[in-house]
Amino acid sequence: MSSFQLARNYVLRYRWRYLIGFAAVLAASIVVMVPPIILRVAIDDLRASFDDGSALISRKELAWYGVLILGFALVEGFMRFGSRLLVSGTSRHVEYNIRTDLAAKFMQLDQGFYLRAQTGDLMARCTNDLQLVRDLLGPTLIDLLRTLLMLVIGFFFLLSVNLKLGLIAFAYFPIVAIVIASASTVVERKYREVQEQFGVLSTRVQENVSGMRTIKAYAQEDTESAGFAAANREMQRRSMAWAYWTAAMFPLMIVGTGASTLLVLWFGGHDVAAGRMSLGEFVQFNTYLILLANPLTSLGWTATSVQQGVASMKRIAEILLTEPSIADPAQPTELVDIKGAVTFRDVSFAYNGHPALTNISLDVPAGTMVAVVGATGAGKTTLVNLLARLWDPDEGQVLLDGIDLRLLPLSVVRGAVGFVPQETFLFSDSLTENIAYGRANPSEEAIDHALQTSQLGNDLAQLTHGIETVIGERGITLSGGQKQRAALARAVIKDPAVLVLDDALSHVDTHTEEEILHRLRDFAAKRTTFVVAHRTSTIASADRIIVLDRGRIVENGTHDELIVREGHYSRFYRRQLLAEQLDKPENEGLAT
Amino acid sequence: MIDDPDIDLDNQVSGKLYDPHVVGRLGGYLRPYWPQVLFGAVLLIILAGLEVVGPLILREAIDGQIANRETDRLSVLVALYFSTLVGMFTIRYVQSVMMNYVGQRVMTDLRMETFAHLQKMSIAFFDRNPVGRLVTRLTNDVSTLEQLISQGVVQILANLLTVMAVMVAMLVLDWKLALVMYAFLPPLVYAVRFFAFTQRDGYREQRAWLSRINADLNENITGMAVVQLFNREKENLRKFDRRNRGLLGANLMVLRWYAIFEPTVVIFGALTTGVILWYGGGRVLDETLTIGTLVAFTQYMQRFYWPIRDLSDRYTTLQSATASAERIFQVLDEDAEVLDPESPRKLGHIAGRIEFDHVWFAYDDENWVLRDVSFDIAPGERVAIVGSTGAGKSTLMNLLNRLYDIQRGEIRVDGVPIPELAQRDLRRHVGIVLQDAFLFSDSVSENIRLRDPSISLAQVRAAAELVGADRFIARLDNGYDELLAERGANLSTGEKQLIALARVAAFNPEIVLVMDEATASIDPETEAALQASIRRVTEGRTSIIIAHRLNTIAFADRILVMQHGHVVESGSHSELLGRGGVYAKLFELQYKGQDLAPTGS
Repeated sequence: MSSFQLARNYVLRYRWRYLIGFAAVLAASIVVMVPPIILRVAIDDLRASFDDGSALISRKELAWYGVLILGFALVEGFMRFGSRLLVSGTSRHVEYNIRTDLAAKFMQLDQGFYLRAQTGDLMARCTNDLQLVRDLLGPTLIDLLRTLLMLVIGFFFLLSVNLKLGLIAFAYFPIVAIVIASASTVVERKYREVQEQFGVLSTRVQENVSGMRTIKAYAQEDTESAGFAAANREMQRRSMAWAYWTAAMFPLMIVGTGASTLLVLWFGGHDVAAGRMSLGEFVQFNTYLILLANPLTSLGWTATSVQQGVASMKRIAEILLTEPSIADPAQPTELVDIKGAVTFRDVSFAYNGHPALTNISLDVPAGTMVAVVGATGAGKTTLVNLLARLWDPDEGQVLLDGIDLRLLPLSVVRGAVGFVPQETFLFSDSLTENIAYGRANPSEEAIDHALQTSQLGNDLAQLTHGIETVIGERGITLSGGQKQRAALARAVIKDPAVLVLDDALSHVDTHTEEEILHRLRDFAAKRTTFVVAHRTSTIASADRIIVLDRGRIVENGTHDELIVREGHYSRFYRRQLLAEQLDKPENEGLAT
Repeated sequence: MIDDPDIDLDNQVSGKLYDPHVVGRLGGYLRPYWPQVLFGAVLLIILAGLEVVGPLILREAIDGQIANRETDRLSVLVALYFSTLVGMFTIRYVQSVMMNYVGQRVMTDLRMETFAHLQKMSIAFFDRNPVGRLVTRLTNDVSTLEQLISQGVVQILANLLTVMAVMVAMLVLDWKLALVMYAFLPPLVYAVRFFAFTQRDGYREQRAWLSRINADLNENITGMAVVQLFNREKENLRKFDRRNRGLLGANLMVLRWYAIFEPTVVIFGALTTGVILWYGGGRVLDETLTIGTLVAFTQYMQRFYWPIRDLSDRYTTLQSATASAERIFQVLDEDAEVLDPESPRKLGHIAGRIEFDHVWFAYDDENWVLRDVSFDIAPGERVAIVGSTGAGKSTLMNLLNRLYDIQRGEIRVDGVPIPELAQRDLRRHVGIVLQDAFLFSDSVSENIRLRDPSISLAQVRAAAELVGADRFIARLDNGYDELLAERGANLSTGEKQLIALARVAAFNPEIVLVMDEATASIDPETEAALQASIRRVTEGRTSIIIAHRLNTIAFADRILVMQHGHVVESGSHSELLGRGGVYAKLFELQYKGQDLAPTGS
């Protein structure tokens, strides 16, 4: 499907509103031509009475003409109101639909997509691009249609008044249109140059602020200011180059309108004097020219707006037409009572060609606690991510209770896994909302249990609104440890068959961590648990330890088995013990 | 734009249309350009006068010529009309260019002032303010302001002048008909005001929904893994939809008012035309009014309505510009925390003695990072600092550079307490190699000399050769002129550090601080080059090295061991190893064997 088809589908959904709106534009464009006719009749009548003194027209009739003009204006006004409301209003509905569809698409797209995409870029498409598309399908569409209709209908009326003058106007209008359109093109080009320099300035400031430590360290503030001043001057130069052109646009339009009066005055004046044309017709003709000048002069802007809208629609379509690589199977397998047995069968996985896991085979019976250890970049996080089907393996299979994850509905897989990620992500919402992320409408008991297990309960007393306190950007900032414990509570309340702790307690202090682990033991006893951890006590108490090195399992066994092997694990364990000794705050009391 | 983390900050500004303080301050920026502003104002008055000439000519043409079937003076009138047009075009154009010029100059000044102000701010300010926010101040907010000057104020003035000129012209032509026309003014002004106010509320609601939706979307995109892991797609979409509907409602409300506004003006126009026709036409029948005057009045009517209608559009421009001005002024009003003394002492060439004398420091006045730290470093001495993460090693560097001020104690360079020196004078003598070498999107040589013209290209080359960066630079397509991508994305970590070392060599300070902590994935060749160059750069200079590599520690004259904000041990490698204390454990942990280094904890 192309971006055009996509846009068409949105529009077709509201085809009746668009059609009625268009009809209203057409009606308004015709009705607007009527009052000048009344004006003509009135003026001609007035003049005739004036000339021969006979009362061709009475005040009462004049009043009626006035009422008639008002009546037609009411009709025109109503049509304009209707067309704006229908077409622009509908474009708002289309905007709403596209935005919802974008959000829904974001929910489906896989982690691979998010690794490639940049948040800023995605946001730009949801905001700037969406706005341009909305303008295209609303105001721009009306303007375009109105301009075309007015010109066609207007010329018809012009010719009906006076053929010769009409033809002169025919010759004159294209000239105005071409002058203005070509000036707009230059303005557009100059504006792009301004925008480019704007980008340069932004980058400069961005780099300056990001690199402020370096700049200060080398006392280069003045050099930076000098560099910025140069870019700033260039910005001024380009802006002025643009201003020289854009400053001409508005006067040009005014003159374009005024010049048409000039034409009528010259050619029409002679005709009226010679009696080939009535004074009323003269005024009527002049009024039409003024009416037509506006849509004519806006043609250039309308064209730009169309171009931008089309380009933006393409960018939006890119997202909407992306298919997620991780999705529900066509015919999902049913799995009701999940035990939590996990199997990796010859699993290999690479990020953009960089191998992260190679030939991983692992059989974890339900209820086992597995500790995963290894250096940074060894593949620990990748391993647990595959477990929740955040990614699919390139080769091999990951199975839950003996069924390939890819055969199960995504919601079942993710419902079975309680995940506490390495980097805590909480939403700026209340703490309850964040914890209830794991389970909709949790009971008091469930919340209490989650709070206790994660040792978050004690912290609540310090918060102004307790568990209802809003956290994050719109609320208070929690400490790193508190965030991690909230994330743990979120996973615990889910009551999952498989619990994953990916280095999830790194910011929690030793004492609290021990307390948490103690409480987790009861909880974990009934569940399969994967723990990526460094702390010796955590690792040693696991049923099984897996040592990863550069994406491969190099050791696999219990603490006692591995320690006697004198291999990777025993070296790791000894060093870690030493590190814990060093970190013990023995001198803590001194300072405070 | 939307990447702007300002949603909360936006709510802090008052958003008042007319804030005398803000407007007065903005006026100050116009002062240097008062001749241009004055000239522009004069042009506006002339323009308003010319605006009323057209219909007068038309009237004369009708009454004096064509109505009497005469054409003898028609060419004169047409020529007059033509010159009026040319005059209007010229004056409008000159005036517009002039105001654009003033607007651009003011913006250039304001941008420069803000940028220079940022250069003066302390690092703590940058810790508090996200990069995106500051960039927005200098770019988008300044641009919004520009519109205020080149379009907002001027256009409003021009509109008012035009309305006044038209009113005068009508009065002169026929005072009775003019008074009838005036009668329509109050209801029209009232209607415009009404629409402006309802629109303002609508816009505010619109903006509130939109910023909420964008924050929502941004949050969902960033946290998508969590959303998916917790099966929250449907629920979050439902929430999103609720807000999206809220926005739709606000949008439609604004649109409804807008859609009513346009026809209202049309109908007002028709109403006046009707009245002119009825009342004026009657007067024509009485022969107290000419047809030409009647036609002139219908034309004036257009010039009368247009400016009033335009005023409502300007309202929004003004409002967002005032908000932008307020935000910029907020930044300009922040004072630097680390200040230079009134009469700083000058440092010439220094020997390079460093003294830390009972130094206490906390970033937040609460959690002490350094507790009573004292040590001396002799000129030319190379000292390695070791300790686990969070022991306070990098803080030492920040303090010696005076990026932050200490709470208690004193830091001295060559016996001079550093607050008695100008910050930049101090920093010229202290070179620093940061762990995460920051590179600018500029050429390699400019990255080495940081665009400082006082360092010659020959010095840049010599510095690169000294640290052995010349070899990889030679391999680049354009050598020293190779443009680096943003943050040096096209270089490896090791290469970036070599450039940072070359920087120090080029600036040639007496004191060198090197951050040499664990870095991932450096190939052995670069690794060796790095170590050699650290050694060369620190040669003969007082140096503090936050050491990660055993080799680096080995060539240090002395080792300071830090733990929990204290200096706990000090001595040579063998002395400390023999003592069997913290250093011995650290050595065992960090420097023996590398195959399975533990992380974090």
